[in-house]
Amino acid sequence: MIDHKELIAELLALRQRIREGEHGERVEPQHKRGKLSARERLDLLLDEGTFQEIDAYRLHRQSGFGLEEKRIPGDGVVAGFGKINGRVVCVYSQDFTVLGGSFSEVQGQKVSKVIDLALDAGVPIIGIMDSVGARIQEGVYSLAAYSELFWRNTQASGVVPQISVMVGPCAGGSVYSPGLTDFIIMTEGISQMFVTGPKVIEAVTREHVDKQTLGSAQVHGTRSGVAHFVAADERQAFALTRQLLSYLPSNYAEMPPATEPKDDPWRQDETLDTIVPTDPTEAYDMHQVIERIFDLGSFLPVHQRFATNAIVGFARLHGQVVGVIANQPAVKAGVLDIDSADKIARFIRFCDAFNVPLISLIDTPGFMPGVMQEHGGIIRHGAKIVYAYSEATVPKIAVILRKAYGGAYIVMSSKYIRTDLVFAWPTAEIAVMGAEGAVNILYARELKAAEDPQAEREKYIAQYRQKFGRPYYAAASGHIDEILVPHETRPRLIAALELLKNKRAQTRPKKHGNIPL
Amino acid sequence: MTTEHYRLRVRVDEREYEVEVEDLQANPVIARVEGKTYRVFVEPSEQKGESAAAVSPVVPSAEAAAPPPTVEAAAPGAITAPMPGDVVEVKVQVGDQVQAGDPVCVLDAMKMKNVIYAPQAGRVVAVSVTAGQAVDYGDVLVRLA
Repeated sequence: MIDHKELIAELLALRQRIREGEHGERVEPQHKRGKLSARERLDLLLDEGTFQEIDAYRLHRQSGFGLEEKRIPGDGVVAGFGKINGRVVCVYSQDFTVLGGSFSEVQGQKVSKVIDLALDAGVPIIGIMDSVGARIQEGVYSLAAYSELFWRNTQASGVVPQISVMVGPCAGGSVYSPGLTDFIIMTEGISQMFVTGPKVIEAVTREHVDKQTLGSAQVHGTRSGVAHFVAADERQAFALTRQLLSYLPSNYAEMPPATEPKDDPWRQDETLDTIVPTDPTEAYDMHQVIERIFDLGSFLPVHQRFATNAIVGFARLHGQVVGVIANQPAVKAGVLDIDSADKIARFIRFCDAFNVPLISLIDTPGFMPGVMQEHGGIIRHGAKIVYAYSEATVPKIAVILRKAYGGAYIVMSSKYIRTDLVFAWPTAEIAVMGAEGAVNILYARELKAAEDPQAEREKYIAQYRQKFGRPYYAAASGHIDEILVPHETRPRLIAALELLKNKRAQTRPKKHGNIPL
Repeated sequence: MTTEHYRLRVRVDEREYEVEVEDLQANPVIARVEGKTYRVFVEPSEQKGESAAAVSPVVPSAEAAAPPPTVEAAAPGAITAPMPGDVVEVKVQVGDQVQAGDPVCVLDAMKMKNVIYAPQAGRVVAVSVTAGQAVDYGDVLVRLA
């Protein structure tokens, strides 16, 4: 009779083989590619010793094309749950050493199982992606597995945070799983994402392009906006995932985790008083403003290098998590365009889904004029901003620092789209348009008839500025709630946030809205 | 973690500076020197992944953020116009050595003087525009090598 000791030894030996392979083949090939193994990645992501694996022994049940020779326990994905900074998350990590991490029927079932657990338990899901794509040998079984995953990603959307960490290739239809999740973190050098690869592109459109040029972290972090974060290496990618999660609640029914405040709530930085130049044609760096208002060092930018004329990200105010949305006058004058509209709207909707209050810092000359923008659909893209703000029921607070003109004033968290409190700095200009443009329209006849049109124009511009170049006209009629000395902004925002802490806004019963996409 | 500030004395060349740091774990580390606040991104070290100080998002690149003129990667070293406008001032000449973040050109667009910065260090090999010239999306302003 076999004794217990042998039974347990057998299990432990099997575990060891699953972990490393017979001769280290689950680890070494990855190191040779300059990548970590699927389990090393989990070790970096999770608190030490917290990983609880499930389905480690699953084998695929397909045959043909040599598949019956390649039944490897786990079938190319390590799945389970663990803790990040003491909070439980569900995770799966694709193993590139098993048939290229190709997505199979069984891999799909394993991933679906942890997502279902995450949904029932109300905990975030983190997918670590390193795979060649669908397992071709399995045909429709592989495709069905992807469909199950995409369906679950959609069901989970707005219920628990979903994060995709890209540490290898992700091509073809498989890109839609990360594409459906809340945040994509790409790693420089080793991750690429594209729907069709260089060979197909060349055959169809005759464009020559290599994998990196087509879908690197750099491209998706700057041009396409597919990647919300870009990490220099895997270590950074997992550190960033941990940092991101520190701002997020585990599910939609929880509040984001507050921390013990480390910064003085009464800190009033007087450099804010002079940070906005009085010359409206001069720019300044909105990051300098953010840094001085929110808890020191707490700002985590999202889409940091994409559509940089807008800034979005998480920060803390007296320990409370907030979502920051700001225009950036130092880039493209802080104009709103197609990409910045998408960036802002998507961030607002995430924050609203997960109870993160919104703080908006406004200084924008308006929407970007031009045929390219109009034909690119700035109407439907720009509409996303106003839709997202209007739909959001979390506390909404806005500060108008300088320019708030026309449609851009309305969409950027104005009072009427139910922003709870709208503040303005003394430099605020709230008008249908800038002074020069307005004067050209309002006084076209007078300017044409004038002996000295330039002097006449300047006179009218001065008159216009007197009325609309200060916030008092808007404040006199309650369009803004209060005018602040800039250095008061931090304590005023903290107090406003405290007021709105238990805000409950009713929404009309409906199936779901129809955001312009 | 303590909430008190760290006060450090740092010697650079012959001068000694007093540096005040709020939270050594934060990234960027917020450091105050002689009344000015600096954001310092800490490079990842050998320590385990959980340290927040290991996170160092990459600095924005003006060139990379510009719309791509073609599917090919933008020519290396080309600094392009991020939007249509008029060149107000060119701040560099052929042969100048520039550092990343140095202003190379000022573009009047959307009623704002937009300063265009060098995305990386290099030597100016071509200046493609002059003051007063109108430029379109993606037009090359300056080339670095």
